[in-house]
This record gives sequence, structure tokens and C-alpha cells, in this order.
Amino acid sequence: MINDSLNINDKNYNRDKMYEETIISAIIIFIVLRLLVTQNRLERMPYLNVINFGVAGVITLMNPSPLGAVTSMIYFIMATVAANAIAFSIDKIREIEHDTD
Amino acid sequence: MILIDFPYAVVVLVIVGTIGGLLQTRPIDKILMLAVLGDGLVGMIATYQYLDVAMASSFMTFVGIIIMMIGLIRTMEIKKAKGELH
Amino acid sequence: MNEILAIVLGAVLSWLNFVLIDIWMGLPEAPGVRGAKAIGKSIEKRDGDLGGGYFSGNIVCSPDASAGTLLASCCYFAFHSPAGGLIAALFVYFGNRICADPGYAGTTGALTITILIWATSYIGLSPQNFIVGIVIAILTIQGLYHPLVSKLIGKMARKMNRKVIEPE
Repeated sequence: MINDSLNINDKNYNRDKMYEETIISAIIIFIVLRLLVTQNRLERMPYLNVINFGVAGVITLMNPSPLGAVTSMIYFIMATVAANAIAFSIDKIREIEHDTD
Repeated sequence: MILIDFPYAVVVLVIVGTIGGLLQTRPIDKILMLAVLGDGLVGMIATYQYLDVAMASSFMTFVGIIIMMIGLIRTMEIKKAKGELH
Repeated sequence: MNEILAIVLGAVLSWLNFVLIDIWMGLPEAPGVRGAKAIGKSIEKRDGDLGGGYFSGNIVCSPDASAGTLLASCCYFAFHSPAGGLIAALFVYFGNRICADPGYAGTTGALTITILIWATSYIGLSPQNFIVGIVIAILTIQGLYHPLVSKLIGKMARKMNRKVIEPE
């Protein structure tokens, strides 16, 4: 038996043009290329936060059900805690290294 | 108006996360690129509508990042106390 | 309603909602956690305003009104009724307790945006416009050019009589 795997094009059949996903995808691509190029470490943190907002929004836009909203909420709160940890350790490593000077 | 679907943005996220992680030299920069890669992974799982897998994957990715941070700070403190720092 | 006009209106309403509530709750005054202080000092070093820097740092590191706006509009869209906004306010309240935030900016932002979405649903706006709107609003605050936006936030905070640290 050939198992029909989940086809990504299934949900595209009954959809008219969705401008919202286009706008968020364009924003994500622009910001992530900007994140790759900047050198200052602490300047990258706000760009990472914009990416978190974008992905959390798209998860709900593509799955308009209560489980999609709960997934988006859990993803966003976990991503905020991780960004907090990264910013804290950037500061702490700078303090450890500059104390030896 | 050209339509950019979300999987294209996820591909850019994953590629930038990988190549950026290769090209950076300090461990703290590598972990930041790992966070970008984890974002892309969860986005791709959610596109295919595997939502419970996305919840568990996001939880484990970000807890892993936090544990790696604690280990990195602990390692650098021990190295500094021994005197063999950079 | 025309689609582009709806998205622009949603973006303006989300921007006003989360910026005004955050400044009113005193976010530009002091950093909540250590990561926010580092981001604020880094923005000040690049010719920015310290109050605006603490504002950006608090948005990154703890759930505040921007998180409340995003999650409330997502849940309103998923549940097709204002009950979703209240559920999101509950989750953001839990998140505030996890991050040990002394204020309740997230819950307030979630409740006010729920009222706004319900009120504008009689004009023709739908919750999707607000989801895209909050992403565009965060892009203008944190994605474009940090020193200029931080000076604007500092000026708004002083006009609303918040005790922001003065630049020397």
C-alpha cells in the first residue's frame, strides 16, 4: 500500500491570495540577512526578537485552530526566555574577559 | 505582487543559521546562530501541521540553549581561576 | 475594506497600544533584568538614548505589552471570539510570573488589544490584520535603526512625565 504522506500543497487548494504570510516572510528574510552581517553582538539581539515575533505569528496564521494558538504561545514564551539567557551570558562573558585586563 | 511563501523564509533561516555558525569563531556567537537554526526548524515543523511535535521541539531546543549557556559560563570561570585564559 | 488599508490601520493601532502601555508602565526607567541593561548600554554607546535603550532591552528579555498584543490577537483569531484574548492574558500572566517581572504590562496589553479588536470588527478589520500589524510595529522599533528610534521613545517618555535618566 502506498501511504499518502502529508502533502504541503493540500492546504493551498482553497486559498485565495494571502498577503499576510508574504509580508511576514519578506520581513524575516530581510532581518535574518541583516543579522548575519552585523558585527556587534548586542546589536543582534533585537533582530533575533523580530524573528521570534514573525515565526510566532505565522504558526497561528497557518493553523487557525486552538492547538495552533497554544503552540504559538509556548514557542514565543520559550524564545523570550532563551533570548534573555543569551543576552545575560553575553554580558557575563564580557565581564569575565575584561576583568583580566 | 510576487508571493513569497513561508517555506522560503524558513530555508533562508536554516541556511543562515548553519553558515553563520560555521563562520563565527567564538562559542557565544555560535550559540546565537544555533538559536536562529532552532527557530527555522520549529517553523518548518509547523508548516507541515505537526503541531505537537513543534511544541516539544521548541521546548527542548530552548532548554538545551539555556543549559549550554550555563556550561559555557562555568567553563570560562574555571579557566580564568586557573590562569590559563586566552 | 481595502486590504492594504486594513493592514496599515492594524499596524498603527498595535503600535500605539504597545508603546503607550509600555511607557505608561515605566519600562524606559529601569532595566528589569541584566540582559536588558546590557542592550540599553550598547544602544547608548552608539549615540542613542538610555531610556530608549532600556525600552528595547525590556522588550527583548521579558514578556511585556508587545508579547501580550501578539498572543492576544493570535488567540482571538484561533478561537473566533473575544474569549481567546482572555485565555492569552492568562498565559501571559503565567509568563510574567516565570520571568519574575514586577509589573503587569503583558496582561494589560492583552486585555486592551482584545477590546480594540472587538471594537474595530464592526468597521471591517479582522484579527489577521492585527497579527501582521504587530510584526510590522516591532520591525519599526527594533529592526531599522536603533539610535533614532530610541531618541523618539525617550522624548515620548519625558513628555508623559516618566523619570527617565537624562543624557549628559
